[in-house]
Parts: sequence; structure tokens; C-alpha cells
Amino acid sequence: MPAGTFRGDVFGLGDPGQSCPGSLEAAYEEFRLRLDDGRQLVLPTDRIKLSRGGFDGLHIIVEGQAETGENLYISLQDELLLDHLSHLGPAGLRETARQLQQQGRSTRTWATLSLTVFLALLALAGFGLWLGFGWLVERAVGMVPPSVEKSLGQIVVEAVASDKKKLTQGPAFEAAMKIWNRLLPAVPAGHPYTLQLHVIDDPMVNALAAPGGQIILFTGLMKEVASAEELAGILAHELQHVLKKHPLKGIMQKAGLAVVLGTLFGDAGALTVVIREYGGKLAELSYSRDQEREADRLAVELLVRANIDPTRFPEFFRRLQSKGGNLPAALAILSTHPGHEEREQALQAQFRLLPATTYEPIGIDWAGLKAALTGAEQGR
Amino acid sequence: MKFEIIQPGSYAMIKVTLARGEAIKAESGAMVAMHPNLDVEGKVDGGMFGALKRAVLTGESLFFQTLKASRGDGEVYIAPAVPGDVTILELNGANHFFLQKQSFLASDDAVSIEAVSQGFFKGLLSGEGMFIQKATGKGTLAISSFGSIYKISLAPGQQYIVDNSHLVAWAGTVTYDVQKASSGWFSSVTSGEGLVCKVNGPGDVWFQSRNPGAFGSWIRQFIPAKG
Ligand SMILES: [Zn+2]
Repeated sequence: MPAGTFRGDVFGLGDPGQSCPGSLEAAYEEFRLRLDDGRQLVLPTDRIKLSRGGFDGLHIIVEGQAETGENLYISLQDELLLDHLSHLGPAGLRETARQLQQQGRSTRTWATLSLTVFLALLALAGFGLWLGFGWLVERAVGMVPPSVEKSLGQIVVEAVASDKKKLTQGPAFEAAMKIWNRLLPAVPAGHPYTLQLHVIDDPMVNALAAPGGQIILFTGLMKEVASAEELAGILAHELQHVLKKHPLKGIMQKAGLAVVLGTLFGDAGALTVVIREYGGKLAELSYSRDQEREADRLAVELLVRANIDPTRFPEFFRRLQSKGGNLPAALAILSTHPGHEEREQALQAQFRLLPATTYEPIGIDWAGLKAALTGAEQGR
Repeated sequence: MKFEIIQPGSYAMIKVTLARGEAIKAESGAMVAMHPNLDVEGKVDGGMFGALKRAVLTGESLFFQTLKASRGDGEVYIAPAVPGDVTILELNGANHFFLQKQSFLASDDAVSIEAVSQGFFKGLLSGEGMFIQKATGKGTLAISSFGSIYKISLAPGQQYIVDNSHLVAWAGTVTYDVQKASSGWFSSVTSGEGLVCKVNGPGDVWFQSRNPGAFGSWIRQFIPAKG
């Protein structure tokens, strides 16, 4: 291609709207156009109009009438054309070429600027949403009626315990119920739930709070605690998660903005779908450190009201953590209830404020129970 | 390399015949069937940043599939995800096209597809989003539509009005303005916002006979409400 030749898309030949690629040679007196299909046309420069066009406003448009009469519209994207014309072009086009160069620069600057501003706004909106999300979740949780929460809880219980045995009798069940029945009368009235404890025969060392007043206890945890008071502490703690709607908040946080907004606008259906899908994953739902501290503090108050020694509760976590590394199943309750060191400190501070008193023992021979549970397992 | 439309219409498919060593890129998941001489690779087109930009900004998938005739000649059949027609465009090195998001189906590997900003207000008003795709280079490009696809060719300065949700693709020489539809022209039920695009020639504009958004709301009325 000789110097001063530029590729372009040529309209105005035959069908309107149809274009043909070609090369434009910008000489001083005339522009010579060689189309890729072999046709050649000549445009005298005194009939040429230069402008900017195209979708992005950055095409260079050459319009003019050919010597043979065709009205041509040539779209080019080579900025060198303007550079060439502003120096070597016909006198009548030099100034226009310079103006179009300037116009192109400002179009490009403006495009970059508006993109930058847009991306900055997007980042800002994302940040605002992140800040405001916790607040939205709080509001959305308040909008879920207790009846819906209860059926959500049932879905979760079924998902977690579907392939496992739910106990309704036997020593493990009876021991758990004895502790549960000591705790229940101490729960302050005024909550909308029917509190329910489900004892599941499973080696998992965990206890879970599900929405709507449901607590799930695995027998694996019962074999790890050393006393009925320890288990009472754990159940009291889970009860506070339930009463404070922590599981529902956790699920909403996991489910994301769409579900939260759906709930705010009165569509509990979205939440149901998410819980059906992720209900089984509730075991992996971890609470925030603030939620843990709140559940601990209220659990101690509940234990004191139930006349159960609250100081035994942290022993479980201390012991579990000391051997935690080599007990994978135990990691479940440690990882879903984060921040044991801080929690222990906060609990000890709370214990120091308690009046000196003797509590009424729950009265279960825990070592005997564990032996019976392990024996029953080996007998199978 | 040869692109052919098989069964044009609502369930169109394309057949691309490749000579040994030739490659095309296609929307990921669009491959229907192919000759065993071909290999499929996931490819992050335009580098990781380019691909991420395309995925985040236009909602396209992160990866294109690259289909390469590595072991000899062969052909591949490619179809879009939604019922609709397919059209073939030629990039000659001097022209380029803009595609509405989700219009890209397949192209010569030499064609480059990138996400470009169409400006804040235009993006907001057109309903096409802030970012559209730009196809440049030299080679064949196949685009897909929802419903059938129709082309109008505009002479320089000629104008036409298209409902924004029906726009599929347009030549780089075409410009458009977003306008409020005059009452009675286009039902605001179909366009949603009552906004239309006034396209200005020269160049080709492709539009589709069905509006995905309107179709979605039509379907929704038959789905029972949950819980
Ligand atoms: Zn907890």
C-alpha cells in the first residue's frame, strides 16, 4: 500500500446500506478509491466533506461525490488519515482535519473518564451494599412470621437428620430430656416458639440450632462431654441462638441479597427454596463472634435461673480444643462456634460477678451413661 | 473455513467446516456435535483481564470454547441455547459490528470479541446494559437471536426506530439515540420502559422477532407461586 493509503468501508454503491471494503489514497487534488472487488473511483477534493461518526463517534467519515456521480460515504478508522491530511492534505481540508483530531482526543478522554467514574460508582455502590447488608438482614429476619420460621426449621431438621435415626427412647434420649426439662422452665416467656429438642443417633460431635425453636443434638456430643452440666451449658447456648434468630440470620446472610430483598418485599417463598436446597448445610453455618458472645452471656443467665452450675460449660470447649487437632468430628462444633479463647475470658469475667451459691446438680451418672452408650454401640 | 446455517428458523444450527489447522471460537456449551478430528479447548479469550471484563460487564461466560481441527479436516455443529435463528456476518477488516449481550454464537478464531462501554446514559436507557460486545478483525461471525432475525440496511443518514429489547446487532457505522416512544407507537408492555432506539445509517441493523424479557413474564404466569 503506497503512503497516504487508508482502509475503509464504502457505502453508496448500488444497494443503500450495503458496504464494500476498499482503500482510499488521499492525494492532493483528488482521493482515489480502490475497492476490494476491483472497482476504482475518483473523488475531487473540492467536493469532499470530513466529519466524525460511527457508533463510538471515533470513525472518520469522508463524504463526497465521485467523478462518475456516485454519492459516497466512507467510514475509516485510521487516525493517520487525519495526520496525513492536516499536513499534506488540500488546503481546504487541513483545518477540518486538525479539528477532528482534537475532537477525537476529547471523545476518547471523555469515554475513559466516564468509564472510570462508572467503575468508581460501582465500587462505591458495592461497598455501600456490603455495609448495609447486615442492616437489611436484621429487617428481613423481623419480617418472617413465626409460622414460616417453624416450617423452615422443620425442613432443616429433616435435611440434617433425614438419613439418621431420631431417638425417642433409650438412655441417651432420657438423659438429654432430663437436662432439657430442667432448662425449659427457666426460658423467659414471650417468645413465639414451641421449643423442641431432637436427639439424633450420630457420631458427629455437635449441637445445632435451627430456625423456629428447634435444637438438634447428636449423640456423638453426649459421648464427649464429661458431665450433665456441660451439656446443659451447650444446650442453653444453642437455645439462645434459637431465641435470638441467629440461624435465620445466618441463612439469610448465606443466601444473599436476592433472598433478603425478596423477604423484605413479602416473598417468603425465596427463603423456602434456599432452605430446601441448603438446609443440610446448616451444620456448616458458623455464627459471628458477637453472636457467640451474646449466646454465651444469655446462656449463663439461663443456667443460673435453672439453678444449674454454669461454670462447667466452658470446660467442654477447653478439653475439646486441647485434643481438637486429632479429632476431626470435634472440629465441627469448634469451627461453627468461633473464638473460644475470647469466649472463655468473657465467661470467666461473667462468672466472677455471680453470687457465691451452690447449684442443684442435674443428677445423671455421666460416666455410667457413656459406658452404657459405648457398650450399646459395641453390642451391635 | 465454511459457515452454513442448517435448518434456518426457530431451531437453527450452524455447521462449520474446517480445514486442518483451522480453529473457531464458540459460546461455551454451544457445541452440538463434531468430527473426531476436532479438539475442544476452553480458552480465556483476550487474556484473563479481557475475559473477566467480558464476563462481569456483559454477562457473557468467562470462557469461549475453541474448536480446532488438529488432526485433519472436520466439521462441527453449533447451536444457541435459546430457540431462535442464526445469522452469518462477514468481517472484512474495514468494518466491525456491535453485538447485544448474548448474541455471539461463534466466529473464526481470528475475530476478536471485546466488551466496550457504550456510555453511561445510553447503557442505562437502552436496557442493553452499559457494556456491549464489539467484533473486529477479519473472518466470519455467527450471531443468534431469540425468535427469528431480520436485517434492515440503512443508507447514509437514513433513520429507523427499533424497540430496544429487539436489537441484536448493528454495524459499527450505525449510531443510535435512545428515545421515549411516542404514545401508541410501541406498547410499553413489550418494551417495559416505553423507550425505543432510533438508529441512524449507514449500515445494517439486525433485530429479533421476540423479546426475551416479555417472553419471561409470559412464562411466569404459568408457574404456580411457591410456598
Ligand atoms: Zn454458638
